[in-house]
Amino acid sequence: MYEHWLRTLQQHLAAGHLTRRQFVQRATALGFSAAAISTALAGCGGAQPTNPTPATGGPATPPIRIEQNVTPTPGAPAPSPTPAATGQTGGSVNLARGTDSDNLDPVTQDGNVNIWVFMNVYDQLVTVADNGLDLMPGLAEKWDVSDDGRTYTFHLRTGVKFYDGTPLKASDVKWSIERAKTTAESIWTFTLDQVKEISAPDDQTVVITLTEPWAPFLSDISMFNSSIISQAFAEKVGVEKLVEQTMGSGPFHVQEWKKGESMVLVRNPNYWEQGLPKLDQITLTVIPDSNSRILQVKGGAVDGIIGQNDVPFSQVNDLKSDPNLQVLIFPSTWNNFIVLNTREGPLSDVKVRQALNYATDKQTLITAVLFGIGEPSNSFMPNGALYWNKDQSGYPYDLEKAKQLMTESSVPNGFKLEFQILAGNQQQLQIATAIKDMWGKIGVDVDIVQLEQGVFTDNYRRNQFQARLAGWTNDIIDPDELVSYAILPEQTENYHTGWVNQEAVDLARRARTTLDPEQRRQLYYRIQEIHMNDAPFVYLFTIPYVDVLHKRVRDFFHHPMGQWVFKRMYVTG
Amino acid sequence: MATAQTRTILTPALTRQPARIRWWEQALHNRNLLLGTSVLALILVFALFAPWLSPYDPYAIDYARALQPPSFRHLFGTDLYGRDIFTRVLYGGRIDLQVGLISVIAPFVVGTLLGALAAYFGDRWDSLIMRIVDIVQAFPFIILVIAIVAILGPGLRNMYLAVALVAWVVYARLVRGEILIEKQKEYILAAKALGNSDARIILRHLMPNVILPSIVFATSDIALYILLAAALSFLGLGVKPPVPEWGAMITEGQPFMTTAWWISTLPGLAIVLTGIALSLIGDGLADLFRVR
Repeated sequence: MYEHWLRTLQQHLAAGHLTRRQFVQRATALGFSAAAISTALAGCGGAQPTNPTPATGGPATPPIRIEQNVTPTPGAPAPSPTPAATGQTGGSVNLARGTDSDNLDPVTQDGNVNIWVFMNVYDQLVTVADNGLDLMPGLAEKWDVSDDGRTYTFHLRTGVKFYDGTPLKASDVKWSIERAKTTAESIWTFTLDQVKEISAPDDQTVVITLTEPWAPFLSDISMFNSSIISQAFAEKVGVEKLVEQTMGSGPFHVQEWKKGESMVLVRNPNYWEQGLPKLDQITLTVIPDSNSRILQVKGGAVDGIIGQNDVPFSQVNDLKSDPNLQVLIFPSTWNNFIVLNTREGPLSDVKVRQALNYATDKQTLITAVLFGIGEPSNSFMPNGALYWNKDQSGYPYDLEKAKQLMTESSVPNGFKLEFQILAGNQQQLQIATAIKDMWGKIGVDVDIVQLEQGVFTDNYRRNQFQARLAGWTNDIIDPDELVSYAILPEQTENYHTGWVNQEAVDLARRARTTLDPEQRRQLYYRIQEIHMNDAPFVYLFTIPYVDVLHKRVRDFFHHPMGQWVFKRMYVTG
Repeated sequence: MATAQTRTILTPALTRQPARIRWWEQALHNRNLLLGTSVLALILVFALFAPWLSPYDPYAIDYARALQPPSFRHLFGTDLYGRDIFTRVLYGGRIDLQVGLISVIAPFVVGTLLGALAAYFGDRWDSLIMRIVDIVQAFPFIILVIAIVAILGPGLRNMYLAVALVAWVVYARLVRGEILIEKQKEYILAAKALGNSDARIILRHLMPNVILPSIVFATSDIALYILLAAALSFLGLGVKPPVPEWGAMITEGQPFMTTAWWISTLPGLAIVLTGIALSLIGDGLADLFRVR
């Protein structure tokens, strides 16, 4: 069987996401021999925490909280494509979101409003499982890795067709990934930097060679920018038209797009997964005002609200009490924090930065601003992500310690701190108002400055700020992406903090080329510890995805990587 | 007898006296003016004596009391942070009334002076000033103010500046029109003939006769500027949070419109009430002075 699956499982075992029992169950389910499993287990060492779990083997990620009595959304399945057997076929739904897409080209676009849609239109060679931790076969049915870790041979699934009925060939894969690697307007090309050569010896085989052994490679290739697009279609209409027209092999196809109003997705009759998708049509309607969105979903004009922060948390309790609606809360990798500019002034003092961390009452913020929907964060890595150290202490709220650190610091009498937020963003305003109160208690006088979007972003890019809110989500399951942003100065000057720690930089570089999961785990744990101690961020919380659907809409899934999964969705009644 | 009586009435001292009484009597009988003034006075008293009228601190955060509906303890309820909204509305009155008054002064003074210059000297002065007026008026008022504030950066001081830059044109036109009529009159010609300086003629002789319409207009303008401050705060360009300002409070409550109506609605009522009071005063003054 595929060595890779076992290795992924091993990584999760090492990271503490799986118990040994779950490991054995999954490996058996994948068809590995008992001998292979015990070898793999031995390779992991015995240091894993063994949580007592029911024999059925629960999901490794925090379970999805479903706030109504509905059929549970499929949890984390074993890493294999499982066509849902339940639910009727046909029908359509109309879902509201706050912001329209602007570019459906997987390579040149740069936002979740796009990615979350076209992930239902395009497939990738490798797919991320619903638990957000495992990789599983996508268009590639299986793959072999050479012993030196530099050559990957992908064997494509047979009989896959694009929406227009033309067969998907290895040449489409080669063309798509080469385009993803070389398109100058793309901001994602760095994910394919290590790709040296792509070749297609026959229609069903793709061989990718790397410049060096690269631990995150399979994760990178599962990312949205490596979506497989029909080469013939792109050449017929011109690549610049990919911004608004799609031709993929995924479960849906973009049939009509009225910009700023709505987008119509229709089922792809040629989709390769048996029995999927269920729905004939999905309409994504743009309703910018949150109060109108709520009123329309309550009145039944739309079948649900999906998006990132498109359901205001202040309304969640109210929506939960509506007998026709279900509020779904899905784990995400959306980590939120305050970025501190460590270049000058009081914030260049690590004691001040630590004091700010201790003075931040994360639980109160979650209760007051997020209405309890969120988890305190203890690292720059999102809760639940691969190699996230859940046992790291982080900064529990401790006012006394914060005050003491302030007296030992360069500014014992406090200082004035400019806190930039985005004008018109209520959540940022709420967080900033609460922070002003909290930091005021250790003598830090927060001056909240609301800036218009252009200035706000520009200040950030030019490092003209003292403190501001920021956040990120994982685009790949491998921690390498976020570590590059947080630790390696060449990308964004460490998320514009200006903080650089040479030890962390060295470790991050080493972790990329280390293939052994346990060694990588140790490296990433140490990196998280360094980041925590130097405190260029004030850790806040991870916010889950909140979606509201009518009860007749079933099996919608919001993937931890962010995208909506529409293929299993169906309607009753 | 009859002639003697007529003569006494015609004496200057007596003709002036009844006129002054009529002014006050009229004011007292002007329902709009009375109502407007008393409501505004009430709001002013509430704002000025806020610390004595409410036991709470407008900035004090108490999450244990967040989002409470209006009750005896919290007359207007509490907001997301557990701050007492009644208290914040009272303190907000200080900000908003102050904003309204300060905003109106600069455009009033600048506009009146420039309008007077244009009308009095005519010719090139008139062309120059009135062309600038035309340019400024070519843009919608609110859009121009928002654009200027967006360039200068948020905050009250920049709002005053933006308003002064944009709103003076209305006063300039008003005063110019009045002076164009008034300067033809004999008393002005007489004043000129007597050798008065231009400045003295404008300030001493023309102004008292042309300024009333502007004052009436300014009264209702105050309400506009309070609304403007509210609008700018709504867009994040007005006061800095967490300063209690009515418009900012409405914004803060907006996500809670369907679940906690009091956060937005009650500060909104305060704005409406102030606006009505100022409009009534404006109407009343217009009636009183027979301004068109």
